[in-house]
Amino acid sequence: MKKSYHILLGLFTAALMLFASVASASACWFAFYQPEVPQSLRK
Amino acid sequence: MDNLSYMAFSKRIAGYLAERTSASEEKEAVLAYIIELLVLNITGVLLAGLLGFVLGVLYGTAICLLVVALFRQTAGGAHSQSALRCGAITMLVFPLLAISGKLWTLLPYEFTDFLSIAAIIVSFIVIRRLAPVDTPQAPIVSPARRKRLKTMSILMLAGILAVTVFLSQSSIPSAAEIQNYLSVSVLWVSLVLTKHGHKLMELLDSI
Repeated sequence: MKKSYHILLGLFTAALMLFASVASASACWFAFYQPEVPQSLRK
Repeated sequence: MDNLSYMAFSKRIAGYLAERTSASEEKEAVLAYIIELLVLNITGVLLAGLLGFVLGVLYGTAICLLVVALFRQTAGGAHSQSALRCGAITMLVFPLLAISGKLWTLLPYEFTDFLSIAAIIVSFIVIRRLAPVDTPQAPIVSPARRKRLKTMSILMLAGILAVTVFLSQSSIPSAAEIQNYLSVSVLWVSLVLTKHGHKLMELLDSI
């Protein structure tokens, strides 16, 4: 159970990292507040 | 990550995920960024949709949200300095755009075509001159990326033009209404690219 939870958490984190990379390719999203983009995602 | 200005909930969730997956501090910052971006945007969609539903313009709100979201990806634009005000602006702007589009439909059809032509011309001029508009929080560093985003914005506007021409020729019952939603959305996109749009956002921030 604990192992599955750990694997799921890893997958979720990887999905978020992938999504962040994809999101950083756009100028911004539609919301009118822009969180600070981390240095590693600036291009 | 402490020097980055993320909200407490983003930092807390990112911290938990980073600790459990042994991620580096830089990855933790990326996690906090994407969590905040997702939460703010999903909340914005839900609030705008809810107000649109209450005001009877859910359909129009959804179209305006979609068009503005697509353009903001490539053209960027003005932002609010506060996440809370951002939520309020997002919640109000899209239903208001939908209402204005719906009201315009009450006028004779020639006005719909006039609005579409005016919106496409104004947007083309503004996008060609100004897009993409970045912010200090999310700067566009690469000139190649800047050029690509501008080209994509213009292509997107060409897509809007094609859909508008199709709608103006079609006999779909709500074609004029959809045409007006597209027009007010691209006009809004153009406004937030200009200095006036930035001043408007500053004004809203000062309230």
